Amino acid sequence: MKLEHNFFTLMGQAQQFTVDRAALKKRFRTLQREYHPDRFAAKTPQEQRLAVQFSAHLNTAFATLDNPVKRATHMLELSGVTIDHQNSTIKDPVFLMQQMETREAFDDARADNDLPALESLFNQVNTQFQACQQDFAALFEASQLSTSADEKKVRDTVGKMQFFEKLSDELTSLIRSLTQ
Amino acid sequence: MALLQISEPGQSPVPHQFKRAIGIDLGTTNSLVAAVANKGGADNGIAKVINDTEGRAILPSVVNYAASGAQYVGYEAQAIAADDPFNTLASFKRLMGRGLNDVSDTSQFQIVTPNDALTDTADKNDVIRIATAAGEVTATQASAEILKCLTARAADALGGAIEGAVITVPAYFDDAQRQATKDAATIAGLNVLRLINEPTAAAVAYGLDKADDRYIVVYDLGGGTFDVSILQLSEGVFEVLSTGGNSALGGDDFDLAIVQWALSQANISAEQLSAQEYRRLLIDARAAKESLTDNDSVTVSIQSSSVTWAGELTKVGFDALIDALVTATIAACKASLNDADLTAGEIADVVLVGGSTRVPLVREQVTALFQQAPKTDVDPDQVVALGAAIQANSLIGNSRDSDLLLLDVIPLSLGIETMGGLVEKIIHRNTSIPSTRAQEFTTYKDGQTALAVHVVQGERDLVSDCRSLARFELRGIPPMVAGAARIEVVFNVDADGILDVSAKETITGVSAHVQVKPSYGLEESEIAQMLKASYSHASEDRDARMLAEQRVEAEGLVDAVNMALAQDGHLLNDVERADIDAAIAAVLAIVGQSDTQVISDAVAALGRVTDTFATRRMDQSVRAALQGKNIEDVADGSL
Repeated sequence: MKLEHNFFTLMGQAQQFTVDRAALKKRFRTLQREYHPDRFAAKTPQEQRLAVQFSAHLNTAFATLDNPVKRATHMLELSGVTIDHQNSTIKDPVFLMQQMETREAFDDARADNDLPALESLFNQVNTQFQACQQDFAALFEASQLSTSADEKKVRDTVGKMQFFEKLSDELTSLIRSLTQ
Repeated sequence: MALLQISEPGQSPVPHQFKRAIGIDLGTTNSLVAAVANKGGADNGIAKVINDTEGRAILPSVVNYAASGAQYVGYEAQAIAADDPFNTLASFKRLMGRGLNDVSDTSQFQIVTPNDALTDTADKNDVIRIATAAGEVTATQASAEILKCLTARAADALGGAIEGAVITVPAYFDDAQRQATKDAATIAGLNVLRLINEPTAAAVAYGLDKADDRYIVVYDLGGGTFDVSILQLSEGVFEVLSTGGNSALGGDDFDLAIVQWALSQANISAEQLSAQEYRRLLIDARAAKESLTDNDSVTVSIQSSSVTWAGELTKVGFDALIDALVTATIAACKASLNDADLTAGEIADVVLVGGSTRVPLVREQVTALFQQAPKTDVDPDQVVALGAAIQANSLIGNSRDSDLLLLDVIPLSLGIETMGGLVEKIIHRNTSIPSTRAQEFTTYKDGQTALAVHVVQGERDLVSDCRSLARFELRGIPPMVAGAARIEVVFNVDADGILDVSAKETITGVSAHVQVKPSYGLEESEIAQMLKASYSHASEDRDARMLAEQRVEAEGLVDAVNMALAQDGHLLNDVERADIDAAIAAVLAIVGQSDTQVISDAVAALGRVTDTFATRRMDQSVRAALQGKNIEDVADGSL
């Protein structure tokens, strides 16, 4: 079957970085209510298979738009830019320096089980993560990736977002394990 | 514009015909069956547990395999259990989809059967087989006996053959355990509409969908499994946000704790008891546990040929014995809250499911964590079967206008082995199902022509710490330099939570495909054999039944295709239409005959010829939905 590969179109959202989460969730539920395999349990095997395929596609679409890094990556993909998260390197020396310092602070705080330090680091990382998301939205909307320099900048911004997300997740689970 | 379809009398599609669908709670200790009564009847659309002829709702999940070849199921088997422990299987759900390698603590076997009844297989990864007087049996076959017994009970009560069933499984069941449950249904000759998770079924039974958007927790502690699920409820949609648990922790472990306490108090070892004496002690331990729900102390005794001992177990003493087990369940609740990104204070309702939630310490700890009294107004033993019945009724199409929709997640991450024995996760736990993910891999050596794909399930980074689900090989990759080949591995998890994996070299198109099952599972041929054997007492019955089922399927498909043609015949050109009409005619021409295979072939042919049509209909419907049009408008041809 033909699957709509633009998740913004599929989910009825404008193609921009900021999404309306309530509307996204509502649309997701409306479509699942219609196409979830449970709705096809009494139908033919062919229709059941299609429903599984489409429902899985809806789950991917929702999960993609609901997560900032995946959403940004998807926006770039729609513009013809693919990101290999595993093999992309950021060459911004200022960022790399910051990143090393943050990592060191994280390792120290973890070694000492220093909860206040971890919490302050968490706030700092999340502020940077937010700022990075705003950068992405602004860059993407202003440039529309018209030059390769623009593309590089946007690509780097997504790489940074990914770094902050990972660190934020690690901090969250560490803080939780210490507070429980 | 398609011509309107008018069917012959007796062959017309009857969209609102009531179908007999049941919900089965296939529990570790007890199993139940429930159904929603036909609308218009006295019980108008209400789910009810179906009792046996003696008025009992529960069927103990116990099967006795006698030397005569006869099988005793439920209360009958339970009555024989202590006298004939070697041929009696209890709590066998603990062994579903498991190999000897999976069961680290062999004392757990004692709950199922005496250790020496196990067949010693060379391959510890093979499915566990138990030697009985009636030959080797597996947990899957024993489960099939329970399913058959409950299905027969339901068919009697509902006045006809059962057309479909929803079977519940612990949310924390892995792929192998789910597949084993489906295999059991196949052996029992039961059409599975869906496997659903026990906590989700319980939420449905509570009907907690009436209120606005809110979060609930289902804490389900059964005989052998523990699950916790966190759901968001909104206008009939039950969306699971996270799930956690332990598929080898339950009330049985409380019984074992009492057994071990008694043995150490009496200063004897388990080996000093005969299998019969041990089985009796287990039964007494369970009685003691149940008694401590309402009493402050209870007497536990051991009577054996060598020892006679009796001691007093207080509630405080019992709490101490099980404290670590209960604490482990509370930790799992906290982890699931974290996964759902919620705090205990954001939970609107806490639902308790499973007989083991009657244990006071469990209630106290759950109450303390969520700072509210849990809901227990629906019988915790029945709530899962009732929810399954409601879902079965909806799936089979009896409640067409139902708003009920369950969106569940996968409990454990799925991945494949990469270099160095590491796991690359492809689908992460708590991902909504159904789910499809593709990941590209490449070759490690120059000229490598084959790639071994090892599918695992679990959260750990090392393959050796995860559950091995299946291995398969992709062969015939043309020799290329290392890293040049592009191998796409696709994971598909269906709505039952069951995985299917395929791999393809994208440059040459060489592909391999596997329905994940071999490790720890039964082979397809073995299942077919068991299905045959299970009806061997009356082979005519079996044949008649298979023919009847095949006819129902054929007629159902013809009805569905006719209905689709009436709605969307305009999507076909004349040739395609003629092909489908011919295939329908072919099915109708032979459906009255008595050769099951011939009917099955005609049904398959009709399926093939309608494939493109189904795809076009789906595309049309989705396109309209995306444009914000009403689906019914499209179906009416007003586009």
